Amino acid sequence: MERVARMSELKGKVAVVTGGAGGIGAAIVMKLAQAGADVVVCDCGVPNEAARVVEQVESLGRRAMAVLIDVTDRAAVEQMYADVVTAYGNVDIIVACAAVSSSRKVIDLTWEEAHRTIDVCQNGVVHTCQLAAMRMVQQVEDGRAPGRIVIIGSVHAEVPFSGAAPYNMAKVAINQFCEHLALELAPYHINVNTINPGWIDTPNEHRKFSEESLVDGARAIPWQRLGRPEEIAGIVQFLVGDNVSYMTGACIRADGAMLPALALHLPEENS
Amino acid sequence: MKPQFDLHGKVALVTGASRGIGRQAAITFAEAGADVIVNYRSHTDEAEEVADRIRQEGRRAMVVQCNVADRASMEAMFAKAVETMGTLDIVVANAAYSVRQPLLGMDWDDFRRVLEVTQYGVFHTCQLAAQQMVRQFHSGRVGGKILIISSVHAERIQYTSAAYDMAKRSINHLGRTMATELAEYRINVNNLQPGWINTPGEIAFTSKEEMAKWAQSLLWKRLGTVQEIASSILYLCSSEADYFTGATITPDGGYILSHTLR
Repeated sequence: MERVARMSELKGKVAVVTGGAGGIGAAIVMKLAQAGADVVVCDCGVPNEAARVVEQVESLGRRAMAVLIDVTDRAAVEQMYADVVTAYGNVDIIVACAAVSSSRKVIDLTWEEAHRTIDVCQNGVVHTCQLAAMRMVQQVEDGRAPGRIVIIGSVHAEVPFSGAAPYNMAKVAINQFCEHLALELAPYHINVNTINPGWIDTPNEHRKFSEESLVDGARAIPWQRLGRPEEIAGIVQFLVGDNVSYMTGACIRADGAMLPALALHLPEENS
Repeated sequence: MKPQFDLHGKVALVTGASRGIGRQAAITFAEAGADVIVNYRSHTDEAEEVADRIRQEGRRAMVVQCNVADRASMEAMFAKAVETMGTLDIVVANAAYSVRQPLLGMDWDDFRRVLEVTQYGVFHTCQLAAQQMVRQFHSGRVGGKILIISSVHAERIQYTSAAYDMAKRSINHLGRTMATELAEYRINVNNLQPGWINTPGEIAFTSKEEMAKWAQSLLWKRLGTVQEIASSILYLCSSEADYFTGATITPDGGYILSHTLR
C-alpha cells in the first residue's frame, strides 16, 4: 500500500533534468519517472543516449521528451521551458545536474577551458534554475502547487581539491546560489536544495580513470566503494517528495564518509 | 623579536588600486618599502595621485589602466609590469564590481558583468601572478604572496547581491585550491574578507547618512576603515605571515556575527 502511494507520489508533475542523458542525471530521470513524473531529458550533444533514456521513461508509462541544448545558452534554456510548458502545461521539478570538468593545475589551465567549466557548472545552473523559478512563481500565483528545485553540487564545493580549481569554484558558487534562490523563493514555498555527491560510479569516471585506480579509490572511501547514481537519485526523489516541505536552502552531502575520512598521510604512503 | 613588515626590494601589484581598499593597500606597501604597480579601470586622476604618493615614499610606481575582466589586457599588463619592474613578489586581487538586483527578474548582462570582474578577473589576476612567481622560482627567486580580497558576503549572503556573493565565495575557494597547488613553490595564497568598510564604492549603494545609521547594527558599532584593512593586507603579504596559506582572514568588526533575524 505504501509502495503504491510512493510510486505515484509525483503523478501529474513535470520534471526537467539537465545532464539527464547519462550518469547521475539519467538515474535521476528514471527515479522521478518511477515515482510518477513526466520527465524532460535535457542534455548536450548526445542524441542517442537521450533517446534511450526517453524510451526507458516511456516504457514506464510516463511521458518524456529529449531537449538537446547547451545549458550555457540562456536563450536555449528559456526556449526549452517554453516548449515544455506548451507540451506538458507546467514545470514542477527542476534538477540542475549538467556539469563538465577539467583536471589541471591553475598555472597550466587555458582561460578557455577554465571558463567552459565555470560556464557550464555555474552559469548553466543559474540559467536552469533562475529561468524555471520565474515560471514557478507564476504557477504558484495561478494556484498550482509550488515547484521544487534541486541543484547537484559536489564535495568539491566543500574541499578545494588540487587540480580542479574551476570546478571547485563553480560548485561552491552554486552551493551559495542555492541559498540565494531559496531566500527569494521562500515566500512562494518553492524549495531549493543542494546535494553534494562524493565520488560516484558514472560512465564518465570510467573514461577518466583506469579500472585499477577506481578500485584503489573505492578502497580509500570508508564505505569501501564508489557511490551509485541511483543513490543520488534517491535523495533527489526525497527532496522533491511530500516528506520535504520545510527544508530549503539546505545542502545534503552523500559521499560514503569520504570527507570525514580526509586525513594526513606520510609521503611514502602515496608511492 | 620585533615583527618585520619591511617590503624593501619587493614589487607589488594591486588591482583596483585607484580608490578605497586597493588605494590604501598600494600606499601602505610603498610605506613599507615596496615598489608598486597601480592597476585601475576608470579613475585616472586618482590612480595617478596614488602613484605620486608612492613616489613620495621614494618607491617606484607604475600605473596601468586595464579592466581585470579583459584577459588579453591582463596578460599585457603582467608582461609590462615584469618587463618594467623586473619581478613580481606580491599580488593583491582586489578589483570588484557589483550590481544589486533580485534573482527574480534579474538582468543576465548585469549578473554576467559582476562575475566577469569579481570572479573571472580574480582568476586572471591570480593565475597570471602564479605563472610569473613559478617562473621566478625556477630562476632562483623563491616565494611570493597572492592575496585575494574577498568579502564577508562569501559567508553571509545578502538579498539582491547573488552574483557578487557567489563570486566572492568562489574566489575564496580558488585561493584555497591555489594554495594546495603552489605550496611546492613556496607561494602563499590567502583570502581576506573585509567587513563593511567606509569606501567610495560603498557610497554607490548606501548614502553616508544611511551608512552611519547601519553602522549601529554592527557589533563594533562602526564601519571599518581602509587603513584597518590595509594593515591586515600588509601583514599577510609580509614575511611575518610566511606560514599562512589557504587561510581566510576576516577583519569585519563582527559583521558576520551581527546578522540576526529581525
